[in-house]
Parts: sequence; C-alpha cells; structure tokens
Amino acid sequence: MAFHIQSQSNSITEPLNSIASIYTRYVRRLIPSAMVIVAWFILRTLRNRSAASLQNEAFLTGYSLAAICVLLLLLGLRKRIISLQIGRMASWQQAHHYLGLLSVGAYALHAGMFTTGALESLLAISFWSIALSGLVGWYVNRTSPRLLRAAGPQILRQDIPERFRIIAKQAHELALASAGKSDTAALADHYRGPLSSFFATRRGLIFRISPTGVTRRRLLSGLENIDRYLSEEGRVQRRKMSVLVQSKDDLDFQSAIQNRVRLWVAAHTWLLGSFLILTIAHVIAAHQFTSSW
Amino acid sequence: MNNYRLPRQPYKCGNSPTGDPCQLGPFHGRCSQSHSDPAVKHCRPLRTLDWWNRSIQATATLLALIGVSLAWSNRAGQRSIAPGPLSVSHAQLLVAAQSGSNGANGIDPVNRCASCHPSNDMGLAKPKQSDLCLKCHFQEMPDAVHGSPHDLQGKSLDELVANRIPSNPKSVLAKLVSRSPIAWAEKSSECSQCHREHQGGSQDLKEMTSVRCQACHRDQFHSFSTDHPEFKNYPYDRMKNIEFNHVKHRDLHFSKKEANFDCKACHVQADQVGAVGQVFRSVSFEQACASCHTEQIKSTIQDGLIVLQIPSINRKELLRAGADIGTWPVQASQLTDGVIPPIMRMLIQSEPGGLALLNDLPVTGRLVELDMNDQQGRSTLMKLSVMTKQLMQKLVNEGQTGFRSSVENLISTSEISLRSDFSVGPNLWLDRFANGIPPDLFRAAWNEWFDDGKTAKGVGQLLPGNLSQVRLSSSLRSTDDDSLLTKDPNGLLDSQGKRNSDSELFRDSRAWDQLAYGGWMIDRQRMAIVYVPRGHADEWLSRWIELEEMRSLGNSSNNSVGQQYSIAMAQQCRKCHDLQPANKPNESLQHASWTVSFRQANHSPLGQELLVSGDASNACWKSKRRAANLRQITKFDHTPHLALPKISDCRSCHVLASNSAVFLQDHATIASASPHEEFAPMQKAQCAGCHQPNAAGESCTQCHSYHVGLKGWLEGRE
Repeated sequence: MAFHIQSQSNSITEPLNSIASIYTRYVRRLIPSAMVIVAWFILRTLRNRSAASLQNEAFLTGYSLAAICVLLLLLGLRKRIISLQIGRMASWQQAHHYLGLLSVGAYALHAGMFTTGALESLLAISFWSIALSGLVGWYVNRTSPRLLRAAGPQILRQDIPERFRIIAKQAHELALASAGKSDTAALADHYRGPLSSFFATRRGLIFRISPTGVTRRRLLSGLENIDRYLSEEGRVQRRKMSVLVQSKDDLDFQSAIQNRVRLWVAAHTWLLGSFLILTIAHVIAAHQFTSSW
Repeated sequence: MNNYRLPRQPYKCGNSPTGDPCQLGPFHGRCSQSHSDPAVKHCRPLRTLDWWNRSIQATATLLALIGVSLAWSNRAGQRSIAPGPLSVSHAQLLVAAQSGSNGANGIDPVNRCASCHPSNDMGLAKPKQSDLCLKCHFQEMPDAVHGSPHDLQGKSLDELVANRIPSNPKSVLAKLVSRSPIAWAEKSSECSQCHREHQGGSQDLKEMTSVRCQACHRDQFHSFSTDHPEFKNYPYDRMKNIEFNHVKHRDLHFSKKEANFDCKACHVQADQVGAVGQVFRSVSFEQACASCHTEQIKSTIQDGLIVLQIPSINRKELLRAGADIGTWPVQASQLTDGVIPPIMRMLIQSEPGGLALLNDLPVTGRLVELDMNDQQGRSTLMKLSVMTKQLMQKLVNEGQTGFRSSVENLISTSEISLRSDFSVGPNLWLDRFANGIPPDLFRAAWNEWFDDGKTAKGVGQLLPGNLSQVRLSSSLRSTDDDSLLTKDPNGLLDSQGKRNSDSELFRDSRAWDQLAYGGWMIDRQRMAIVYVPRGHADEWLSRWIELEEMRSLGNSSNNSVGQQYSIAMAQQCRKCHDLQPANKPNESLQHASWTVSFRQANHSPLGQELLVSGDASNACWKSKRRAANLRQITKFDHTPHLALPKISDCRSCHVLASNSAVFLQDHATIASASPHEEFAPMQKAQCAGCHQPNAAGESCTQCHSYHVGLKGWLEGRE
C-alpha cells in the first residue's frame, strides 16, 4: 500500500518537476534573452532615427552604453555594501549577465567592430577584455556547479588546503600501518613510489587549467595491480588507500574548478578602473571636439 | 577546520597552504600570533588573491591615467586622442605638424586640432566648427556660410522647394513648403552632420547615405524605381540660347544632302571635359555649323554694315527756301531720300539734341516723307545735315575716343553692369566699340565729301598699309567718279596722275570683294562709311546687337531705336542666337540668364576667366557650357553611360517627340516653343533599368548635389 501511494505521488510530481525544469532551463533564460534582443533593436532604431535626423547618433548610443555600464557596476556595489542586499544575489547576477550581453550589442552600435585612434583603441581593448572575460566567466560560472557536484560535496576553497593535509596524513598513516608486514608491505612500497608525491604536492599547471582523470585512473589501476601481493587485510588497506586517492583527486578537481571561477571573476575586474578613466577621457574629448549633437 | 573567514583581506596566514592556518589571521602583513608562546606556530603571511587583483587593477588604472594625462597635455598627444586618422583630403593637417613647419598652410603645428575644432582659447569669438571648415572651402562653396539647405536662402530656397513639390501629398517636404521663409532661413546645419572625419585615409568624405538626404526630404524614397517622382521634362527643361531645330535639320537639311545626322558631331568634344563628361550642349560653330552656314552668313553680311551715311538732301530746293546746308557732297544733293541707318541713328541720339532730331523724323524713317514746303521739314533737314557734319567732325577730330564717348552716351555704365554683369566692369566692353575704328578713313571721307570739293588728294599718305588699299580700291570702284576713269581707264595712275606701282589698287571690282575677311571702307555709291563683318561671330557687330538688347531691356522711353530701326543683319543672328528677352519668363530671369550666360560661356562660374583674358565678350552668344566645378541639384555624367553598348547611341535616351512633324514647319515654331520641346521627355524607367540597389546603385548623391548655392541654382533652372 505504502509503495502504491509512493508511486502514485511520484506520478503526480514528476510532470510538475519536468515543467519546473523546463521553466528553469528555458523560460527563465528565454525571457531575459528576448528582453536583451528587444532592447537592442530599440536602441538600433533610435540610433537610425538619430542619424536620419542629422544628429550625431554616437552620443545616443554612447550614453546608452554608459548607462548600461553603470547598471553593470551595481552588482559590485550589491556585493560590497551589505545594506544594499535587495533581492537575491542570483537575480542580480542574472541581470548582470544579460545587461553585459546588451552592452556588447550597444558597443557594436556605438563604435562598430573595428576602432581606429590610440585612445579609442585602448578603450576598445579595455571594453572587449572586460566583456570577453565576463562572458567566459559567465560560462564558467554556469558549468562549474555541475562539475563540482560530480566531484563530491562542495568544499569552500579556503578549506581545501586543510583537507589536503588531512588526506595526506591519513594516507601516510595508512602506509605506515602497512609497512613492516610481508603481506601488506607491497602497499607501503607502492606508497613510497608514485603515491607519496601525489598526496604531498599540488597538481601541475595543466591539470589546474584543464583537470582530467588520467592520473587518477593510472594511480588506481596501479593500486589494483598490487592486490596479488597483498593478503586480505592488505587488500582492505589498499581499498582505503584507493578511496584516499579518489578523495585527493576530487579535492584537486574542486580546487582547479574553483580557482578557474575565481580567476575569471578576477580577470573581469582587472581593467575596470582603466576602462572608467578612458571612458571619461573619451566623453570629454567627444564633447570638446564635436560641434553637433 | 579553522574559523578564519575574512574575505577581501590583503594577507592570509602563511600556514594556509599546509592546511593549518591560525584562526586570527595576519595583521597589516605581520603574523599576529604572540612570539612569547612557544606552542604557537608562527608564519610569514602570504598575499591573498584579492590583493593581487587589486594590485593589477590599480596598476592598469594608474597606467591609463598617466597615458591619458600625457596624451591630453602634450603636442604629440593630439594625435593620440584623435578618434582615427584623417581622410586623404585633410592629410596636410598632419603633415604640417609632423614636419614641424610653423604655420604652414595656416595650420598651427602646436595646436593643429584647432584648425578644425573650435578651441576654448578662441574666447567669446569662438566660431562654429563649420566656420572653420569654410575658412578653406569658402572659395568653392561661398554660399555655404549660412548652413542653409542646399546653400540656398530666401527666395531661391523657396523657389527650389516650390518647384520640387513631390507628387505625394503626404510628403513632409510638402508640409515644409507651407512653413514661412523665416523658418527655412533659420534651418542651419553643420558640416560635420554629414561629413564624418577621422574614419581613415580611404574614407570618402563625400560619400553619403540616402538616409541623410531624407532627414529633410522626408518623402521617403526607399527605392528609386518605385518611390522617386517622375522626371519633369528632364533634361529638356533648361533654357537654351542657341536655337537649333533638331527635327528640321535631320528630316530636311541633312536628308536632302543625304548626310549622316550624327549627334556626336555637334555634342562631343573629345579634348575637353565638362560637367557631364565630354558631351556638351554644343561644340564650336566651326566644328558643328560652318560647313553649311558659312556661305549663308557671308551672303548676309556682304553689303556691310553702314556706320555713317551722308543723307541725300535736295540742296537746291532748300536753297530756294532760303536754307543753306553749306558744303554737301554733290552725289547726296539731288534728292531728299533714304533712311538713316540704325547705327547712325544711335550715334545721332548720343549727341546733344540728337534725340529731338530723331523724333522730328518721320516714323517710317524715310526722309522723302519730310515736307520740303514746310518750315518744320526744312528745319529737320537742316538739323540733320548739321548733325551729320558734327558727327563726322567729331570722329575726324577725336577718332576712337570720340566714337567711344558717343556709345557711352547711349547707355550708362550702371545700366551695362545691371544688364550684363561684366565682371571686369563695363568700360572694357565699351572699349571694344572703339577698337578698330579707323580715324583716317573718316578723315579721308570728310576731305572728300565736305572739304570744298577736294577729292582723295594725298590719301595714300594718310592711310598706310591695308587701310590705304581698302580705301583706295573703294574710291576707285566708284562709278560716279567718271573723271578718274576717263583720265586713267586702266587705273594705273594715282590721284596726282603719277603711275601707281601697285596695279592691284586700281582693279575695277567691288570693294567688299577685297574685304573678304572684314574691315572698313568708304562706299561712294551709298555715300557711307561701311563696316564689313568678318563673318560668323564678328565682335564689333555683336557689340552693337548686344547694345540693342540692353537698351531694349532698359527704359523704353529712352530707346528711340525701335524694332524697325534695328540692325537688319541681326535678324540673321537671332535665328540661332536666342537674345530675345521676351522669350524669358520674367524680368529677374532675364537678368539671371544674361548673368549666367556671360559666366558660363567663359567656363567659369565666378567669371574669373573673364578677368584673366579681359574678354568682355559676347558670352551670351555662345552655347552654354556648364562648368565642371559648378554643382547643380541634378547632375549627370555621360562618360560611363556612353561606354555601355546598349546606350552608346545618344538616340537611345534622347528621343525626338512623336509630334516632331510640327517642328518641320518653320523656324518660328521652334523659337516660340518651350526649351527643347522637340524631344520627348525622358522617363524615370530609362534610368531605373540599371539603377537598382544591386546594380548601378540608386543613392541620392549619385544624381543629386547638395552644395548647390545660388550660382548652381540659377544655372540649374536655366
């Protein structure tokens, strides 16, 4: 009976879940995407009208872009000023992402894809650096949680070193426990070989840029290969060691993914100040040297 | 697991990488743990990622700030803050600064941006940017200073709008027409609204999208073929000043001679390029017309133009009535007859009392109608004889200067300026009347006719060179001089009975046979001093016809010449040259027509070539040629079109009207017709076949100019 009720409730909730999933996946993205496209077309229409009435359309698109940039900066304020915590952070971030997309479109309307002039080129480099790092960061932000979930429970980045230390200590103690006995010594011997450095050191740059399971599979395979030299007790210890290898590799993976997210978020802000300075100079120059607008 | 949770700190515990950080964390980059406690593991604090982020941000910001400051403050920075390279046309702005030349081309190398951009240093007199543009471009676009549409203002702008009202009643242009002229005048624009600089060297500043044109022309033309209004008799709506009946020439004259009626023979001049390529309204007379019309003109002018004629007066009858006209040639003393020739009438009018004398003459001009029995008639003849002698004496004594002053009395210099707009002033034009007048000829005539019966004694010494020959041959030609013929029937002796070495001088032939190239002579048969024009485009004759035209435009009360007294020869000229102001729609246009004609024929919109060549010439006689640098609202270049095999034949576009038989009738038909009526108006479809977006293009500026100005507007409506 209980099973029947449970299966019945599943049959009711499953479609609801799938609808919610569809909403989450598509509608929630579709609406802001549509809004960005509509906003861009409105801006484009206004720009064309401005050009058609012999006005300097660059001022319209320029100030629109500036307004969008100011809105984009609000996310940073939201993060830093605790009293400004209006709405959910996720909503702010989503708004930031779509406004960022709109800013790219507005920039294309304002300056086109190719820029000439030293000041303008520097400004363009700053903008595109910020925009592209933001776009990559957005992608990384969206894909990272799924990857992190696959690597076990999420651990705060700052706690990872301590976890490393604990796992390394456990592996070392396990190796010490297996040493000196003929039926388990193979594990200790194997630990002294490739495992000790694996537990004691950070992973290489290639892994941190693009983490893969190659090393993990190689080490686990190596551990399995020494089973024939181990007694039953030794195999239990070997399995514990395999779990520790997996844990360490998961931590490495988490560390790499979290660092990647952190790096792109940081890179997104590196040229923010210079962009602001160059923008102010650009606006002053535009007003000083343009007679009609 | 530690509880250290302090984000955005510049330092972190040095034991963090080993996974054993302290909970307190570092303070100002130093370990905060007590050194006195040996159980505590001290560390060397490490910089956090946040610190590195901020450092990179600060460095980039600082570099940007320094860069911008340097760019803004120093001279080289002027290029740095430029939004892009200048177009090729303005490249000298950069060259002047790079070479360090001080003030080359009027450009300040230190502050060269100020050449085009108003600077705050200019104070209260800070100009508009367009004013700076026009510092260099004023010569080519003098009317652009107002920034008004098409560089037009006031009436000309209103006329432009009124003439170009589109057919679409919804048109905003049509609505704008209803606005007051003040509203138009106030509508000004900046050069930079259309011409965007700093887009690179390869950018064409004149390249314009049709959208910009339609900022004002809001009758939106999305497509030339569907939206553009039909042509209004284009290009045949312009006034022509050379009358040429294409139909008559093709179907009568050329077909009679079985000659090829080739358009290019009269409209293409391969060695010149005008506003529409190598195609012109007409080429020279010599190239296009001389082969057929030279003889016709020669036969018209062979009798010459009588400048001054001794009126035939019945002297005996006057004497019987007690009136003595003094010395008077015998040949002109038998009958009272004849007509005062037109030029002599004008010369009489120039003298004091001349106008009153002319008014006393019969309306028909025939002296025979004067009643010799009437005191008034006799008095008029007396006055006429006195006036004739007075004129002769003036020309004998004062020569060319006297002749010029007579002409000058006929028309004021201000009126000449008003009617003809000579850029060099009217004086040069007046000079040309006197130029070539032979005073010796008048002196010889005076001696012969009025010096108490003295004949042509010693005239060989008076008139050197060709004039002597002309005069002598003319005198010997006279059939009245029987004594000379009796004494020397072979014409081999001079007047003193000595043998003349040049037997040619005594040939018994018509004087004008020897004046095949024009000149002056004494005509003893007509008792006149005659000018024989040299043929087509004779300057002296055309001066007189111009004078007639100017006087006919002037105050009619001051004009006693009248149509019946006009130079007869001029009628032949007027068959081709449209000098009749009556054909022009209004007075202002007459003036404009003359003005433009004078400028046009000299290939200079500003009359500069007039000034250079000093040719205050008969420009209105010549076929108008649009100067290549004079912009009109509508422009067309034949060159690329004639290269297309399909339309290389002129007749593929210029089609004679279907009712062309009408124009075969007579010359008057075409003269009274509207300009170029013998052609069928061109249709928009003829152009729209090729002028499509993906073919020959259909942008507004392909066929229309913006910077027209008053000159272009005046010529365009011609």
